[in-house]
Amino acid sequence: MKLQDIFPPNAYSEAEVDKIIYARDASVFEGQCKAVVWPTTKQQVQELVMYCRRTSQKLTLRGAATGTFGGAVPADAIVSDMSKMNKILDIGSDWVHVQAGVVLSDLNSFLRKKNKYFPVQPLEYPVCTIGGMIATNTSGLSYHYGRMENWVQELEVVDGTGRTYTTSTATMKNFIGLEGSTGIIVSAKLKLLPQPPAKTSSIVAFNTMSAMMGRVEQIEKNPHILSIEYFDERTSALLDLGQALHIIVEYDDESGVIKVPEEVKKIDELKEKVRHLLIRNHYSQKEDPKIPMENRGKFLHWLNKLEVPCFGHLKHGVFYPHFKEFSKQPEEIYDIVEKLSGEVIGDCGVGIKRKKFLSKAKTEKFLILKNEYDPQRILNRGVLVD
Amino acid sequence: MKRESVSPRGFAVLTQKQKFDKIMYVCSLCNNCKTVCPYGVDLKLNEMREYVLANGGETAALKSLMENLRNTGNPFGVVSNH
Repeated sequence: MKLQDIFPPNAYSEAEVDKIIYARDASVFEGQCKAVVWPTTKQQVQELVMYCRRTSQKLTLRGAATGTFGGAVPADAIVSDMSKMNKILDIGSDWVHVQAGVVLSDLNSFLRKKNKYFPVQPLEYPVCTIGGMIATNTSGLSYHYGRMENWVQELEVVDGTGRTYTTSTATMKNFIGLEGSTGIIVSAKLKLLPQPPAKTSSIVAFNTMSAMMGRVEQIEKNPHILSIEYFDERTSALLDLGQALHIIVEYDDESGVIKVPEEVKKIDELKEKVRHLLIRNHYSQKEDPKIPMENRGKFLHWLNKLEVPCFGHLKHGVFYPHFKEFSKQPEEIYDIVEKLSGEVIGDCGVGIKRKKFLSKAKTEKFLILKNEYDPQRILNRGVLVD
Repeated sequence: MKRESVSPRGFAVLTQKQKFDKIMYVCSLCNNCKTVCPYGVDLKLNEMREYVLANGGETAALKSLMENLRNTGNPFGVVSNH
Protein backbone atom coordinates (compact mmCIF):
# COMPACT_ATOMS: atom_id res chain seq x y z
CA MET A 1 0.00 0.00 0.00
CA LYS A 2 1.37 3.43 -0.93
CA LEU A 3 0.52 6.80 0.63
CA GLN A 4 -1.54 7.56 -2.46
CA ASP A 5 -3.71 4.54 -1.61
CA ILE A 6 -4.47 5.98 1.84
CA PHE A 7 -5.02 9.61 0.81
CA PRO A 8 -6.95 11.02 -2.17
CA PRO A 9 -5.03 13.31 -4.57
CA ASN A 10 -6.15 16.50 -2.81
CA ALA A 11 -4.87 15.19 0.55
CA TYR A 12 -1.36 14.20 -0.49
CA SER A 13 1.52 16.18 -1.98
CA GLU A 14 5.15 15.74 -2.93
CA ALA A 15 5.23 19.14 -4.69
CA GLU A 16 8.48 21.03 -4.18
CA VAL A 17 6.74 24.13 -2.83
CA ASP A 18 4.99 22.06 -0.17
CA LYS A 19 8.20 20.33 0.83
CA ILE A 20 9.94 23.70 1.19
CA ILE A 21 7.19 25.27 3.27
CA TYR A 22 6.41 22.31 5.47
CA ALA A 23 10.09 21.99 6.36
CA ARG A 24 9.62 25.08 8.54
CA ASP A 25 7.49 26.12 11.46
CA ALA A 26 7.52 29.41 13.39
CA SER A 27 11.00 28.71 14.76
CA VAL A 28 14.36 29.42 13.16
CA PHE A 29 14.84 25.73 12.38
CA GLU A 30 14.51 24.17 8.95
CA GLY A 31 14.19 20.46 8.39
CA GLN A 32 13.56 18.15 5.46
CA CYS A 33 10.04 17.28 4.40
CA LYS A 34 9.50 14.21 2.21
CA ALA A 35 5.78 14.62 1.56
CA VAL A 36 2.72 16.24 3.10
CA VAL A 37 -0.58 14.54 3.91
CA TRP A 38 -3.85 15.98 5.20
CA PRO A 39 -5.77 13.25 7.07
CA THR A 40 -9.46 13.73 7.79
CA THR A 41 -10.24 10.50 9.70
CA LYS A 42 -8.77 8.46 12.53
CA GLN A 43 -8.53 5.54 10.13
CA GLN A 44 -6.31 7.51 7.77
CA VAL A 45 -4.08 8.48 10.69
CA GLN A 46 -3.81 4.86 11.75
CA GLU A 47 -3.05 3.69 8.20
CA LEU A 48 -0.46 6.45 7.90
CA VAL A 49 1.34 5.23 11.01
CA MET A 50 1.22 1.62 9.79
CA TYR A 51 2.62 2.77 6.44
CA CYS A 52 5.50 4.54 8.18
CA ARG A 53 6.22 1.46 10.27
CA ARG A 54 6.28 -0.82 7.19
CA THR A 55 8.50 1.51 5.19
CA SER A 56 10.65 2.74 8.14
CA GLN A 57 9.73 6.34 7.47
CA LYS A 58 9.42 9.10 10.03
CA LEU A 59 6.33 11.18 10.65
CA THR A 60 6.07 14.74 11.93
CA LEU A 61 2.78 16.14 13.16
CA ARG A 62 1.70 19.68 12.45
CA GLY A 63 -1.13 21.78 13.87
CA ALA A 64 -0.80 25.50 13.25
CA ALA A 65 3.01 25.28 13.61
CA THR A 66 3.16 28.39 15.79
CA GLY A 67 5.73 26.89 18.19
CA THR A 68 9.10 28.64 18.29
CA PHE A 69 11.26 25.74 19.44
CA GLY A 70 11.08 23.52 16.37
CA GLY A 71 8.36 21.11 17.48
CA ALA A 72 6.85 20.80 13.98
CA VAL A 73 10.10 20.73 12.00
CA PRO A 74 10.47 17.42 10.14
CA ALA A 75 13.74 15.51 10.27
CA ASP A 76 13.54 13.95 6.80
CA ALA A 77 9.95 12.99 7.53
CA ILE A 78 6.46 12.90 6.10
CA VAL A 79 4.46 15.78 7.55
CA SER A 80 0.88 15.16 8.64
CA ASP A 81 -0.97 18.47 8.54
CA MET A 82 -3.86 17.94 10.97
CA SER A 83 -5.77 21.08 9.97
CA LYS A 84 -8.44 19.22 8.00
CA MET A 85 -9.46 17.29 11.12
CA ASN A 86 -11.38 20.36 12.22
CA LYS A 87 -14.85 19.23 13.26
CA ILE A 88 -16.55 20.09 16.52
CA LEU A 89 -18.08 16.69 17.21
CA ASP A 90 -20.39 17.10 20.18
CA ILE A 91 -21.16 19.31 23.16
CA GLY A 92 -22.56 18.62 26.61
CA SER A 93 -23.45 20.74 29.63
CA ASP A 94 -19.83 21.24 30.65
CA TRP A 95 -17.73 19.61 27.95
CA VAL A 96 -17.07 19.72 24.22
CA HIS A 97 -15.62 17.02 21.97
CA VAL A 98 -13.44 18.30 19.11
CA GLN A 99 -11.08 16.95 16.51
CA ALA A 100 -7.42 17.89 17.00
CA GLY A 101 -7.29 20.32 14.07
CA VAL A 102 -10.05 22.59 15.41
CA VAL A 103 -8.71 26.14 15.58
CA LEU A 104 -9.23 27.74 18.97
CA SER A 105 -10.85 30.89 17.60
CA ASP A 106 -13.42 28.74 15.75
CA LEU A 107 -14.13 26.89 18.99
CA ASN A 108 -14.47 30.24 20.79
CA SER A 109 -17.07 31.42 18.24
CA PHE A 110 -19.01 28.17 18.56
CA LEU A 111 -18.97 28.27 22.37
CA ARG A 112 -20.05 31.91 22.55
CA LYS A 113 -23.31 30.96 20.85
CA LYS A 114 -23.79 28.25 23.47
CA ASN A 115 -22.95 30.65 26.31
CA LYS A 116 -19.95 28.55 27.29
CA TYR A 117 -16.26 29.25 27.58
CA PHE A 118 -12.95 27.45 27.26
CA PRO A 119 -10.54 29.32 29.52
CA VAL A 120 -7.09 28.39 28.14
CA GLN A 121 -6.43 31.17 25.63
CA PRO A 122 -2.76 31.46 24.59
CA LEU A 123 -1.43 34.36 22.56
CA GLU A 124 -1.80 32.31 19.37
CA TYR A 125 -5.56 31.81 19.94
CA PRO A 126 -6.58 33.17 16.49
CA VAL A 127 -4.77 30.30 14.76
CA CYS A 128 -3.58 27.60 17.18
CA THR A 129 -5.16 24.14 17.11
CA ILE A 130 -6.50 22.14 20.03
CA GLY A 131 -4.16 19.25 19.20
CA GLY A 132 -1.13 21.52 19.29
CA MET A 133 -2.26 23.10 22.54
CA ILE A 134 -2.57 19.67 24.15
CA ALA A 135 0.71 18.41 22.70
CA THR A 136 2.58 21.37 24.22
CA ASN A 137 0.38 21.54 27.35
CA THR A 138 0.10 25.23 26.81
CA SER A 139 -1.22 27.76 29.28
CA GLY A 140 -3.31 30.84 28.55
CA LEU A 141 -2.42 34.50 28.64
CA SER A 142 -4.19 34.42 32.00
CA TYR A 143 -2.14 31.82 33.86
CA HIS A 144 -4.85 31.57 36.49
CA TYR A 145 -6.61 28.76 34.64
CA GLY A 146 -3.50 26.65 34.48
CA ARG A 147 -2.51 24.51 31.54
CA MET A 148 -4.29 22.25 29.08
CA GLU A 149 -3.76 19.23 31.34
CA ASN A 150 -6.27 20.80 33.75
CA TRP A 151 -8.93 21.05 31.04
CA VAL A 152 -8.72 17.79 29.10
CA GLN A 153 -11.20 15.05 30.08
CA GLU A 154 -10.34 12.47 27.48
CA LEU A 155 -8.19 11.96 24.39
CA GLU A 156 -8.47 9.80 21.32
CA VAL A 157 -4.95 8.90 20.25
CA VAL A 158 -3.12 6.82 17.65
CA ASP A 159 0.30 5.85 18.97
CA GLY A 160 3.50 5.04 17.10
CA THR A 161 2.60 1.36 16.81
CA GLY A 162 -0.74 2.15 15.17
CA ARG A 163 -2.79 1.28 18.26
CA THR A 164 -5.72 3.57 19.00
CA TYR A 165 -6.82 4.58 22.49
CA THR A 166 -9.46 6.50 24.28
CA THR A 167 -7.37 7.52 27.26
CA SER A 168 -8.30 7.24 30.87
CA THR A 169 -7.43 9.96 33.39
CA ALA A 170 -4.29 7.98 34.20
CA THR A 171 -3.05 7.43 30.64
CA MET A 172 -3.93 10.90 29.37
CA LYS A 173 -0.76 12.30 30.89
CA ASN A 174 1.30 10.04 28.63
CA PHE A 175 0.28 12.21 25.69
CA ILE A 176 -0.36 15.70 27.10
CA GLY A 177 2.77 17.81 26.86
CA LEU A 178 4.67 15.06 25.05
CA GLU A 179 4.73 17.14 21.87
CA GLY A 180 3.52 14.34 19.60
CA SER A 181 6.41 12.07 20.48
CA THR A 182 4.23 9.30 21.93
CA GLY A 183 1.05 9.54 19.92
CA ILE A 184 -1.09 11.50 17.49
CA ILE A 185 -4.02 13.25 19.14
CA VAL A 186 -7.03 12.68 16.94
CA SER A 187 -9.72 14.21 19.14
CA ALA A 188 -10.17 15.56 22.63
CA LYS A 189 -12.97 16.08 25.13
CA LEU A 190 -12.46 19.40 26.89
CA LYS A 191 -14.00 20.75 30.07
CA LEU A 192 -15.85 24.04 29.79
CA LEU A 193 -16.86 26.89 32.05
CA PRO A 194 -20.45 28.16 31.88
CA GLN A 195 -19.52 31.69 30.77
CA PRO A 196 -16.59 34.07 30.77
CA PRO A 197 -16.05 35.36 34.31
CA ALA A 198 -16.50 39.08 34.89
CA LYS A 199 -13.15 40.73 35.61
CA THR A 200 -11.90 44.04 36.84
CA SER A 201 -8.32 45.28 36.44
CA SER A 202 -5.84 47.76 37.83
CA ILE A 203 -2.61 49.09 36.30
CA VAL A 204 0.06 50.24 38.73
CA ALA A 205 3.41 51.90 37.90
CA PHE A 206 6.63 51.65 39.93
CA ASN A 207 9.99 53.37 39.67
CA THR A 208 11.95 50.64 41.42
CA MET A 209 11.94 46.85 41.42
CA SER A 210 11.98 46.72 45.23
CA ALA A 211 8.86 48.90 45.46
CA MET A 212 7.10 46.71 42.91
CA MET A 213 8.04 43.41 44.54
CA GLY A 214 7.08 44.78 47.96
CA ARG A 215 3.60 45.61 46.68
CA VAL A 216 3.27 42.28 44.85
CA GLU A 217 4.14 40.34 47.99
CA GLN A 218 1.47 42.29 49.87
CA ILE A 219 -1.35 41.63 47.45
CA GLU A 220 -0.69 38.29 45.81
CA LYS A 221 -2.29 36.18 48.55
CA ASN A 222 -5.66 37.82 47.76
CA PRO A 223 -7.78 34.89 46.51
CA HIS A 224 -9.68 37.20 44.18
CA ILE A 225 -6.61 37.99 42.12
CA LEU A 226 -6.63 36.04 38.85
CA SER A 227 -3.24 37.23 37.68
CA ILE A 228 -0.49 39.80 38.18
CA GLU A 229 1.12 40.60 34.83
CA TYR A 230 4.50 42.28 34.70
CA PHE A 231 5.81 44.70 32.07
CA ASP A 232 9.35 46.06 32.36
CA GLU A 233 10.34 49.58 31.29
CA ARG A 234 11.02 48.57 27.70
CA THR A 235 7.74 46.73 27.15
CA SER A 236 5.86 49.43 29.05
CA ALA A 237 7.30 52.04 26.68
CA LEU A 238 6.29 49.94 23.64
CA LEU A 239 2.75 49.79 25.00
CA ASP A 240 2.73 53.58 25.65
CA LEU A 241 2.23 53.01 29.36
CA GLY A 242 5.22 55.22 30.18
CA GLN A 243 8.84 54.52 31.07
CA ALA A 244 8.37 52.66 34.36
CA LEU A 245 7.77 49.15 35.61
CA HIS A 246 4.10 48.21 35.46
CA ILE A 247 1.90 45.51 36.84
CA ILE A 248 -1.61 44.73 35.65
CA VAL A 249 -3.67 43.04 38.34
CA GLU A 250 -6.81 41.13 37.31
CA TYR A 251 -9.56 40.41 39.85
CA ASP A 252 -12.61 38.21 39.70
CA ASP A 253 -14.52 40.67 41.88
CA GLU A 254 -15.00 44.44 41.98
CA SER A 255 -11.59 45.20 43.49
CA GLY A 256 -10.01 46.49 40.28
CA VAL A 257 -10.12 50.18 39.38
CA ILE A 258 -11.08 49.47 35.76
CA LYS A 259 -14.58 47.98 35.77
CA VAL A 260 -16.20 48.75 32.43
CA PRO A 261 -15.99 45.52 30.36
CA GLU A 262 -14.81 47.30 27.19
CA GLU A 263 -12.00 48.96 29.14
CA VAL A 264 -11.06 45.67 30.81
CA LYS A 265 -10.90 44.09 27.34
CA LYS A 266 -8.48 46.81 26.18
CA ILE A 267 -6.23 45.96 29.11
CA ASP A 268 -6.40 42.29 28.12
CA GLU A 269 -5.33 43.23 24.63
CA LEU A 270 -2.11 44.76 25.95
CA LYS A 271 -0.92 41.25 26.75
CA GLU A 272 -1.38 40.23 23.12
CA LYS A 273 -0.04 43.45 21.74
CA VAL A 274 3.26 43.38 23.61
CA ARG A 275 4.59 40.28 21.85
CA HIS A 276 3.57 41.60 18.45
CA LEU A 277 5.32 44.90 19.16
CA LEU A 278 8.46 43.12 20.33
CA ILE A 279 8.60 41.13 17.10
CA ARG A 280 8.03 44.25 15.02
CA ASN A 281 11.06 45.69 16.81
CA HIS A 282 13.10 42.59 15.87
CA TYR A 283 12.95 40.87 19.26
CA SER A 284 11.88 37.61 17.69
CA GLN A 285 13.56 35.13 20.06
CA LYS A 286 11.75 34.45 23.30
CA GLU A 287 12.42 32.28 26.33
CA ASP A 288 9.97 31.28 29.06
CA PRO A 289 11.85 30.50 32.28
CA LYS A 290 9.98 29.61 35.46
CA ILE A 291 11.56 31.23 38.50
CA PRO A 292 10.94 30.31 42.15
CA MET A 293 8.84 32.95 43.90
CA GLU A 294 11.59 34.04 46.28
CA ASN A 295 13.97 34.80 43.37
CA ARG A 296 11.62 36.63 40.99
CA GLY A 297 12.90 40.07 41.95
CA LYS A 298 16.56 39.06 41.46
CA PHE A 299 15.83 37.58 38.04
CA LEU A 300 13.91 40.61 36.80
CA HIS A 301 16.51 42.98 38.20
CA TRP A 302 19.22 41.07 36.33
CA LEU A 303 17.24 41.26 33.07
CA ASN A 304 16.79 45.00 33.57
CA LYS A 305 20.55 45.43 33.99
CA LEU A 306 21.10 43.64 30.67
CA GLU A 307 18.34 45.73 29.07
CA VAL A 308 16.46 42.61 27.96
CA PRO A 309 12.79 43.43 27.34
CA CYS A 310 10.56 41.19 29.41
CA PHE A 311 6.98 40.68 30.45
CA GLY A 312 5.37 37.80 32.32
CA HIS A 313 3.22 36.24 34.97
CA LEU A 314 4.45 37.55 38.32
CA LYS A 315 1.95 35.52 40.33
CA HIS A 316 3.14 32.26 38.77
CA GLY A 317 6.80 33.05 38.19
CA VAL A 318 6.85 32.49 34.40
CA PHE A 319 8.51 35.25 32.38
CA TYR A 320 9.13 35.97 28.71
CA PRO A 321 12.44 37.73 28.07
CA HIS A 322 12.88 38.56 24.39
CA PHE A 323 16.04 38.82 22.32
CA LYS A 324 17.06 39.99 18.89
CA GLU A 325 17.09 37.34 16.17
CA PHE A 326 20.68 36.07 16.33
CA SER A 327 21.49 37.16 19.85
CA LYS A 328 23.57 34.86 22.04
CA GLN A 329 22.09 36.40 25.19
CA PRO A 330 19.75 33.46 25.84
CA GLU A 331 22.82 31.45 26.81
CA GLU A 332 23.40 33.89 29.68
CA ILE A 333 19.76 33.49 30.67
CA TYR A 334 20.11 29.73 31.00
CA ASP A 335 23.01 30.14 33.43
CA ILE A 336 21.26 32.65 35.66
CA VAL A 337 18.01 30.64 35.68
CA GLU A 338 19.90 27.60 36.92
CA LYS A 339 21.75 29.66 39.54
CA LEU A 340 18.37 30.90 40.82
CA SER A 341 17.05 27.30 41.01
CA GLY A 342 14.59 27.98 38.21
CA GLU A 343 13.56 25.95 35.18
CA VAL A 344 14.59 27.02 31.70
CA ILE A 345 11.46 25.47 30.20
CA GLY A 346 8.35 27.25 31.46
CA ASP A 347 5.23 26.79 29.37
CA CYS A 348 6.23 26.98 25.71
CA GLY A 349 7.41 23.45 25.12
CA VAL A 350 10.74 21.77 24.49
CA GLY A 351 10.80 21.11 20.73
CA ILE A 352 14.18 20.52 19.17
CA LYS A 353 15.90 23.47 20.74
CA ARG A 354 15.66 22.81 24.46
CA LYS A 355 16.06 19.07 25.00
CA LYS A 356 19.33 19.61 26.84
CA PHE A 357 17.47 21.47 29.59
CA LEU A 358 15.23 18.60 30.52
CA SER A 359 16.13 17.05 33.85
CA LYS A 360 17.63 13.56 33.83
CA ALA A 361 14.49 12.26 35.57
CA LYS A 362 12.20 13.78 32.96
CA THR A 363 14.32 12.51 30.07
CA GLU A 364 14.28 9.01 31.52
CA LYS A 365 10.52 9.17 31.99
CA PHE A 366 10.00 10.36 28.41
CA LEU A 367 12.23 7.57 27.10
CA ILE A 368 10.17 4.95 28.95
CA LEU A 369 7.00 6.35 27.39
CA LYS A 370 8.67 6.54 23.99
CA ASN A 371 9.68 2.90 24.21
CA GLU A 372 6.14 1.93 25.14
CA TYR A 373 4.19 3.98 22.60
CA ASP A 374 6.66 4.54 19.75
CA PRO A 375 9.43 1.93 19.95
CA GLN A 376 10.27 2.33 16.28
CA ARG A 377 10.85 6.09 16.79
CA ILE A 378 8.51 7.10 13.98
CA LEU A 379 6.82 10.10 15.58
CA ASN A 380 8.37 13.59 15.73
CA ARG A 381 11.95 12.35 15.67
CA GLY A 382 14.29 14.70 17.51
CA VAL A 383 11.56 16.46 19.49
CA LEU A 384 11.65 16.20 23.28
CA VAL A 385 14.07 13.26 23.37
CA ASP A 386 16.74 11.96 21.04
CA MET B 1 -7.80 25.04 1.53
CA LYS B 2 -5.76 24.24 4.68
CA ARG B 3 -2.64 24.09 2.52
CA GLU B 4 0.14 26.19 4.01
CA SER B 5 1.64 26.78 0.58
CA VAL B 6 -1.20 29.10 -0.40
CA SER B 7 -1.12 31.06 2.84
CA PRO B 8 0.67 34.36 3.50
CA ARG B 9 3.09 32.51 5.77
CA GLY B 10 3.79 30.05 2.96
CA PHE B 11 4.43 32.87 0.49
CA ALA B 12 6.78 34.47 3.01
CA VAL B 13 8.85 31.27 3.22
CA LEU B 14 8.96 30.91 -0.57
CA THR B 15 9.99 34.55 -0.97
CA GLN B 16 12.73 34.11 1.60
CA LYS B 17 13.95 31.13 -0.38
CA GLN B 18 13.69 33.10 -3.63
CA LYS B 19 11.37 30.37 -4.91
CA PHE B 20 8.92 32.42 -7.00
CA ASP B 21 6.56 29.66 -8.01
CA LYS B 22 3.29 29.75 -9.95
CA ILE B 23 1.51 28.80 -6.74
CA MET B 24 1.80 32.49 -5.88
CA TYR B 25 -0.99 33.10 -8.40
CA VAL B 26 -3.33 31.58 -5.80
CA CYS B 27 -3.74 34.99 -4.25
CA SER B 28 -6.20 37.78 -5.08
CA LEU B 29 -3.69 40.53 -4.09
CA CYS B 30 -6.26 41.94 -1.66
CA ASN B 31 -3.48 42.74 0.88
CA ASN B 32 -5.69 41.67 3.77
CA CYS B 33 -2.65 39.76 5.06
CA LYS B 34 -0.75 43.03 5.38
CA THR B 35 -3.69 44.68 7.13
CA VAL B 36 -4.20 41.98 9.74
CA CYS B 37 -0.60 40.85 10.30
CA PRO B 38 0.22 41.49 13.96
CA TYR B 39 3.92 41.59 13.12
CA GLY B 40 3.62 44.20 10.38
CA VAL B 41 4.87 41.96 7.59
CA ASP B 42 4.31 43.31 4.06
CA LEU B 43 4.73 40.55 1.50
CA LYS B 44 4.92 43.11 -1.34
CA LEU B 45 2.56 40.96 -3.35
CA ASN B 46 2.86 42.91 -6.61
CA GLU B 47 6.64 42.59 -6.58
CA MET B 48 6.24 38.92 -5.74
CA ARG B 49 4.13 38.48 -8.87
CA GLU B 50 6.73 40.26 -10.97
CA TYR B 51 9.37 37.87 -9.71
CA VAL B 52 7.14 34.93 -10.58
CA LEU B 53 6.88 36.24 -14.14
CA ALA B 54 10.59 36.92 -14.33
CA ASN B 55 11.29 33.36 -13.19
CA GLY B 56 9.45 31.64 -16.00
CA GLY B 57 6.06 31.85 -14.35
CA GLU B 58 4.14 33.17 -17.32
CA THR B 59 1.31 30.81 -18.14
CA ALA B 60 -0.24 30.34 -21.61
CA ALA B 61 -3.41 32.00 -20.33
CA LEU B 62 -1.50 35.04 -19.09
CA LYS B 63 0.43 35.33 -22.34
CA SER B 64 -2.79 35.24 -24.31
CA LEU B 65 -4.40 37.80 -21.99
CA MET B 66 -1.51 40.24 -22.37
CA GLU B 67 -1.46 39.90 -26.16
CA ASN B 68 -5.21 40.52 -26.28
CA LEU B 69 -4.84 43.61 -24.09
CA ARG B 70 -2.08 45.00 -26.28
CA ASN B 71 -3.86 44.25 -29.54
CA THR B 72 -7.46 45.03 -28.70
CA GLY B 73 -7.52 46.82 -25.33
CA ASN B 74 -9.56 44.06 -23.71
CA PRO B 75 -8.56 40.69 -22.21
CA PHE B 76 -10.87 38.73 -24.54
CA GLY B 77 -9.30 39.81 -27.81
CA VAL B 78 -12.67 41.08 -29.09
CA VAL B 79 -12.54 43.80 -31.70
CA SER B 80 -15.42 46.23 -31.52
CA ASN B 81 -17.51 46.70 -34.64
CA HIS B 82 -18.48 50.20 -33.62
